[in-house]
Amino acid sequence: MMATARLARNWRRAIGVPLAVLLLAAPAFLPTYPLSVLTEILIFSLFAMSLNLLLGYAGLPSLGHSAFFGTGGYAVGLLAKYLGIPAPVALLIAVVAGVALALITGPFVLRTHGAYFLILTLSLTQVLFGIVWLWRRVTGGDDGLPGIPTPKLPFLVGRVSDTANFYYLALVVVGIALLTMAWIVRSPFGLALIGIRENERYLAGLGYPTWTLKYAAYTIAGGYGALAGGLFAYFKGFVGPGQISWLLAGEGMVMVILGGAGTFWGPIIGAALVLLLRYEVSAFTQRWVMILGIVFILTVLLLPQGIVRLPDRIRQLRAQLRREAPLARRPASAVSPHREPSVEQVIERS
Amino acid sequence: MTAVPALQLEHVSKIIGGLTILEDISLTVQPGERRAIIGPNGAGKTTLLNVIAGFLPATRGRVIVFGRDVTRLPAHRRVDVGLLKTNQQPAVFQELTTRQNILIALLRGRHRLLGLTGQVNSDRAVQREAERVLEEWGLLDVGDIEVRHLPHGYQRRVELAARFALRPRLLLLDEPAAGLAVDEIPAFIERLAQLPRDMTVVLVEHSMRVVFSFADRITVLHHGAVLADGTPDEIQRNEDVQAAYLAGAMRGRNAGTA
Amino acid sequence: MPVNTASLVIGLSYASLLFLVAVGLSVVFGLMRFINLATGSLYLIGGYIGWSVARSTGNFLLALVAGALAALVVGIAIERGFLQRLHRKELLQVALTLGVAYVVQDVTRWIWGGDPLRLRPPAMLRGSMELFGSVVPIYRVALIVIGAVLAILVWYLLERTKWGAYVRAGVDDLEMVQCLGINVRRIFAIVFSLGAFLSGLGGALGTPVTGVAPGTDIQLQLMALIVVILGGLGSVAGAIAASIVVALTDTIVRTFWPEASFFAVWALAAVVLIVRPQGLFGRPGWA
Repeated sequence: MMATARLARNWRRAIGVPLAVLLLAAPAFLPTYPLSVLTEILIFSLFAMSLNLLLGYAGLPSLGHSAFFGTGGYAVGLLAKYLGIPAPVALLIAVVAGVALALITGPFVLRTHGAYFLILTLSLTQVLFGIVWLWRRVTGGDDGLPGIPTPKLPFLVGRVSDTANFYYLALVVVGIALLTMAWIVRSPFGLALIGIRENERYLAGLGYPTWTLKYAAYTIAGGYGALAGGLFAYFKGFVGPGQISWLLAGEGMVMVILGGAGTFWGPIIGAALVLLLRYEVSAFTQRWVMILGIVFILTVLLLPQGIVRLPDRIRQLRAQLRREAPLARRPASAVSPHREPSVEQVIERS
Repeated sequence: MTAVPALQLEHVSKIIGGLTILEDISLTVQPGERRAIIGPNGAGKTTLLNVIAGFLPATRGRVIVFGRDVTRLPAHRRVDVGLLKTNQQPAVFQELTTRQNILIALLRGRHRLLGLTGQVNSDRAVQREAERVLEEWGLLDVGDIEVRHLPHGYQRRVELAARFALRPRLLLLDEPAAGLAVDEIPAFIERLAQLPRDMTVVLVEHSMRVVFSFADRITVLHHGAVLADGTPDEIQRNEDVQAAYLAGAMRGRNAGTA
Repeated sequence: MPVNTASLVIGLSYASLLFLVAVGLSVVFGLMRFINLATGSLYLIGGYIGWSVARSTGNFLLALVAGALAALVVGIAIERGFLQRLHRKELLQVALTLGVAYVVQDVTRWIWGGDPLRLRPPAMLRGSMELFGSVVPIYRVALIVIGAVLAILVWYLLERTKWGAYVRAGVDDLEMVQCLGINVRRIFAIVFSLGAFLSGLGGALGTPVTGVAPGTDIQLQLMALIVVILGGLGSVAGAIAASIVVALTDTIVRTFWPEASFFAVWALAAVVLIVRPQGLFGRPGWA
C-alpha cells in the first residue's frame, strides 16, 4: 500500500524520461495513421494546456478559446498560402496575432466573472466566427482556406516519411511550448493565478494587482492557443470556420476537466483521451459521440477533479469510508517510515 | 511636533443604492494606537473597514494613511503604504497548503514581470523565510496540509502570519475573535497584547472583553455615523452609548471578566 | 417593404419558441447559477417525440404533451442526479450539460436519422389567413397567441404568486431564503423541471415551423443564450422582451442579408454584454 501510494505520487517524475524516449522513437514503430493521430494529440495537448492556464489556474471559465485557435490557424493559412512565408515565421506571427486578439478583447472580457465570463467569451468567439464566415474574400468563408503546404524539417527530408517529418516538427514546437508553460506555472506568477482562482479579493488584499495578472494570463493563454491553431492548420493543410467553433472550445474545456483542471499533466491526458475516444471508438461504432457524452457525464459524476487526481480521489473515498479526516499529503522532504499522523493528532501535539 | 497620523478619515460617506451605510465619518488614529470600532449590527463597521482598505470606494470623503491620500487607490496598492486587513472568515486560500499561503504573501513583488522571472521552489531565500514564519507561528507541523483541513483557529493564525509577513504598519482586524469559544478568548487577548507597539491596529469587534482590554481608544458607530469617540472609560460613562447599545453588553463584560 | 406584417408574424412566432427555451435557461441560471447548455437538447427531444407521436396518433395535442413530458423526464433526471453537487461549479456544469447534449444528439440521430423532420400543423391550424392586409400562415399566428398566453402565465406565476416571490427572492439572495426555512431544494427542482417542460413544449410546438433535425438543438441553444444575455438572467420580462428583439432582428436581417443574421445577433449580444453586462433587465452587480 505504501509503495503504490509513493508510486502514484511520483509517477510524474518516473514517467518523464521513458515518455520522452517513446515520443522520439514513435515514428519507428507507429504506422502512418496512428502517427498522425499522435500528432493531433500533441497539438491538442497544447491547446488544452493553454486553456488550462486560464481555466484551471486562474479560474476564468472561457468558452471562447477557439477564437485564438482559429486566429492562429487563419494567420498561418493566409501567410503560408498567399505569401509563402516559412513555417517558423508564420507560427511566430500566429502567436503574435493571438496575443493581439487577447490584448484587444481582454479589457472587455475581464469585466465579468464566472458564468457571465463564460457567456461573454462565447459571444465574442461567435462574433469572430461570423466575421470569418462572411468575409469570403479573405477567409474563404464557409469553404475556408485549403491547400496549406505542410512544413518539413529540412534535415529529415528523405530520411523519414512526410508524416513523421511533421510529427517531429510538432513535437519540437509543442515540447518547447510545454516547457515554457511549465516554467510559468511554477513561477510566482503561476502561484498568484491560483490565488486569483481561490479568492481574488484576498489576493488583492495581499497587494497583488489582480486585474493585471488576469490580463497577462489571458494574453499568454491566447498566444499559446494561437500557436496550437497554427500547427493544426499546417497539420490539416486546411483552415476553416470550424476551428473557431464553440464546439471546439467546449471540447477543449472538457479535455481540461477530464484530465484535471489546474494540474500540469491533466490537460495532456484529457486531450489524448478525448481524441483517442473519438478515433478508436468511431472505428467500431457510429455512436462515438454518445460515448463521448457519457464519458463527460461520468467524469462529472465520479471524477470531477479529473483523471490526474485519481490517486487523491481514491484516498479521499477510502478515508470517507473509514470516516477519518482526509490524510495530509506527505511533505516532499519527509521520509518517515511510520504512518502519517492525522490532522487532529498533529494539532493536538502543537 | 506631532507625528503623522496613521489613519485619517475625513467626512467619509458610503451610499449604496440609495442607502446611506456610512455617514460623514471623521476620525484620526495615531501611530501605535489601538483603536476599536464597535457598534450594533448593521452599524456599518465592516463596510467602514472595507472602505479604509479599498475594497469599497468611498462615495464621499478622504482616506489618508500615514499622510498619503489613498482614497483613489485600489486595495492592492494600499498594501504599499503598509495597510493590511483580515476578514471575518479567515482570508486564506483554502486549496493551498499553509506553506503556500505564506509563500504567496512573501513572494509579493519579489520577482519582476508579475513574478514570471522566478520559480517558487528554487527561491531559497523565500523558502527559508517561509520556514521561519511557519516556525514563529507554530505552523510547522501543518505546513504542508491544505488550509481547508485546518480548524478555524489555525486558519486565523495562517491569515495573520501571511499578513505579518508583509510588515503591516496599519493592521485592520475584522472581528478576529469571531468563532472563538468563550474559553479561548483570554488566550486571544493575550496574543493581541503581544502585537508590536509600533504597529497601529484598528479592530472591529463584538466581544466587549476583547475591546476593553485591548483598545486605547474606542469609536462607536451607530446607523453608519460616529456616535462617540474616546477612551474606554469615557465610552463606558457616555450616556448616549449606553442608551444606544452598550448597557446589556457592559453588564456582560463586568460579569465575565476574569 | 421587407419589414411587413408577414415578417413580423414570422419573427414573433419564432420569438414564442425562443421564449419557451430561454425562460427556463434564464430563471434556472438566475436562481441556481446553473448553466444549462442542454436546453437546446430538451427542445430537440420535445420535437422528435412530438413528431413521432403526431405521426402515429394524428393527435397534435397529444404530441405536444408527449414532447413536453419527455423533456420533463430528462430534466428531472438531470436535476436529481446533478443539480446539488454542481452548485457554483461552472466548469462541471458545462461539461455535464455538454455531455447530455452530445448523448441526446447522437441518440436522436440514431433513432430518427439525420434528415430534417417536419410536421404539418394540425388540421385546425393549417393554411393561411389574412392579417392587416397580408397573407400569413395560421399556425404561426397561433404560435404567437400560444406564446403570449404562456408568457403571461409564466410571468404571473413568477411575479404574482407567493411561490414566485420565493423564487425571485432566491434569485436575489439565496442564503436569506434558506434562512427563512423555505425548502429551497424543492423550489430548485420545480423551477428546473418547469424549464425543461417548457423547452420540450417549445420543441413540439416548433416542429411545424422550424422542423427538427440534428443541429436544431445547437441552433436553439445558442439563440436562447443570446436571449438570456440580452434579457438579463433571472428576469421573465427580460426573456419576453429579448426573445422578441432577437427573433425580430434575426428575421429582419435575414431578409436583407441571410448569412449575416448569425453575426448580427451575436454582435448584438456581445455589445450588450460589454456595455451592460447584466443585460437589459438584469440586476447590476451580478456580472
